[in-house]
Amino acid sequence: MPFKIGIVGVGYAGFDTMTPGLSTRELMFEAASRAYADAGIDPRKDVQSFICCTEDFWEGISITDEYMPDQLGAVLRPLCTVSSDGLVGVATACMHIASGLADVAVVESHSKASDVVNPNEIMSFGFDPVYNRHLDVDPRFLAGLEMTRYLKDSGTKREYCADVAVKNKKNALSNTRGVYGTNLSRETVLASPNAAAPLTELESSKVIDGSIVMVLASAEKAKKLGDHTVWVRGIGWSSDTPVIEDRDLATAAYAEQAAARAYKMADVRAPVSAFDLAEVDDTYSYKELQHLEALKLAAKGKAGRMVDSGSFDRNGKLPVNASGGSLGVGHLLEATGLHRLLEAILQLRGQAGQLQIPGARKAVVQSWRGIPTATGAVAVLGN
Amino acid sequence: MPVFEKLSQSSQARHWNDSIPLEYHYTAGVAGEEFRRELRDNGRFLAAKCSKCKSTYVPARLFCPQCFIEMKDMFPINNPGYVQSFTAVDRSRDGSKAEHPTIVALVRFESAKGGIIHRLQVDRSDQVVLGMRVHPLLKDKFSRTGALDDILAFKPLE
Repeated sequence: MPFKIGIVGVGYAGFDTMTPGLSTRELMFEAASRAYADAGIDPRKDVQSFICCTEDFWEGISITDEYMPDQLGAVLRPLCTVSSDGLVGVATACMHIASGLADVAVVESHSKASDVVNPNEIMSFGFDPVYNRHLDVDPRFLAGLEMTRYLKDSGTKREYCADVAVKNKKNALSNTRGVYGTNLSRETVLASPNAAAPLTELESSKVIDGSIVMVLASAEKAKKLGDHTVWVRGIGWSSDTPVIEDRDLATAAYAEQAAARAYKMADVRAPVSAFDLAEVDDTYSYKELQHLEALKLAAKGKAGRMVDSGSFDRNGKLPVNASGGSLGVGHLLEATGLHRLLEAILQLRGQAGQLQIPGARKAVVQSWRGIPTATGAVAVLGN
Repeated sequence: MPVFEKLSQSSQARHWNDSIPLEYHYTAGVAGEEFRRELRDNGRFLAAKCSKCKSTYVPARLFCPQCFIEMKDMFPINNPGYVQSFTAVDRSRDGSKAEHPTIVALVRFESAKGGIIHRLQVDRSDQVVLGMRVHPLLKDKFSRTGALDDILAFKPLE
């Protein structure tokens, strides 16, 4: 039987550089209240599984999972934390539903990055303590190493990476959630300060605050809930080795494998012509190109040229990050995958406002967990 | 809106400060200890070879990530290093602007997987080309501890 799990409710709050008026828990409460209203459910009666995707160091609380129940309506209900990107949490919810453990499952993830005084130190603390913490440098050095190798092995022109930032920041201008939307030239992006050469600061996404909540349901239950069900038709996730030195820095092997699994589940045989839109991770400009090639939405080494020629523009052959992505909207830490998913769902519901891609029916969504990880997830969606 | 009475003046928005002083002793482990001893005593990098897939890994480790079996064959490598990738960063770990850019490279060794990530001793990043041969500049034997900072930097071969 084809895989089919419904996303019946979405809610979000925040989407700004700082949210000093609300605590983390209040931000989550807002997002959850909206998602439950959207799905038409009561979390105290209708949900059998709650899943949060958080990470203790970003929260500033050890055992942060213990602080999640109240604001989601999950006190004395089954709740677990997945210490990974939100899209991996969606995969977990799908498993709970597919196994029959739950009819309805809720997934939440958030960023309260404005509360973190030294985010660089947290990112650096993710590196291997014995072999990778001896240098007192910006942790984005790994992005620089990856980008250099990607450009070399794929034969991509360096300027094409800048074009990703130009495209996504322009798209974000039309997105009400877009914090970093702007019109820039390729030259301005290239001339912006160095982040980790060749990567520049305008090619490196900036963190924002926000919470996103999704309500998922079995196919049978979904028929009774909400009017805008979007179906998960396939989902996959994968982690490459944590040993950076072992990795092929040029490619996103984790995304390639996650996509292969999701495509197989959803019976996607020709990815390049299977979707009306794609929301893929663009934490750094070159990452979008790497990920497009891993997802087989572009041939190896061709993603850059396709960005340059407008194939991935909002009115192009396959709109990629029509929302503005993380470069245009802002980066939401572990909620970044849920953000990609949120933007795709709004498109498939026909609720994307100015961003709307006419007749959007099928989408692919991909996440990456950020530096220094090589973990990613892919979901295939249909309406 | 779900939260009815919101703060409406920025002066009402308060926050509390706190920090956590974290300290750890990270165990280098069986293979890690051997690697450190070889670096400290002989200034060489220890590798491990998988008996099944025949891959050689630097730094040495106890198990093969591809085959999931223990690797017992450990030996120092004398193979030349080369630059697999590099970057230049202007900021320190805490985000502050550093006085000079640091050129960071992934140095691999011929016929081996893995490698060492370290700084490159060059004046400018445009002096670096992918694949260029490099060798490690080490602290003198008596001040080495076996840690990665026993390596001062990698330097292009003359």
